[in-house]
Amino acid sequence: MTPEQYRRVGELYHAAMELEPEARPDFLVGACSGDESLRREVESLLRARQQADGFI
Amino acid sequence: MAIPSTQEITQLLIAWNNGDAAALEQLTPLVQAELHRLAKRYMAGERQGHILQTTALVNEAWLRLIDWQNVEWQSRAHFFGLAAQIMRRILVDFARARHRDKRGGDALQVSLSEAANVAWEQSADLVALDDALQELEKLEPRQSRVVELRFFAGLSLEETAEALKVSVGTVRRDWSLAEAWLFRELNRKEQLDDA
Repeated sequence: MTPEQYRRVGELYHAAMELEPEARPDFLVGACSGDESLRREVESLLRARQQADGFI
Repeated sequence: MAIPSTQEITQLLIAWNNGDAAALEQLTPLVQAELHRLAKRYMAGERQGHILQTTALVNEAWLRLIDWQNVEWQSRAHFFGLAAQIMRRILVDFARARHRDKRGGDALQVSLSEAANVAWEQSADLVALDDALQELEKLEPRQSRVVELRFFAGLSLEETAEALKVSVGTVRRDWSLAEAWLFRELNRKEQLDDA
């Protein structure tokens, strides 16, 4: 991943975090407009977020 | 001993920075107490069994700090930014040495010899965390700094914001994403190691 790609992933991650969990998948499908690897990356980080509390 | 105010510490740091040697004598116990508190908080955290002795850590941190007299101290937050880097270096160096020792059986030559009790699992975690932080630094340096300040110096969200001169909201967002990213990286590595 490049810094530019990471920045884009971060923008979508934070936007998704503002939404209710059940609204996130639809939001990401729309926001990623067919870029599947981008969508998978953001979803994977959102899943990690749920398990990551207090791990460091 | 009363907890010194941010202003007192800052004034002493500035005085020392401007060549007032007596300020360093006043400053030393204050900073040691503060570092001691931070190190204790770190050790009392999630990592059960991480028995790196606080006093040894703090003394080592302070010794290394003294070598950094040429650094321009701007504020307490700036100082603890440096302290975070030092703590990271100490803890990770120590964990790497333990790691090597377990793998190769070589005799250990570390300056923290009195604190030779970091559990094997914890050493591996800390080394992996350091590696992942270096990767994160390439993607977004500020997120890596946020983790360094919060994890290795125990700074609050507000103190981290002060040190980095960004808003608390920015620190909170950086921390949220960085923690998720690091969690995923470390678990991915574990799966590869297990395979």
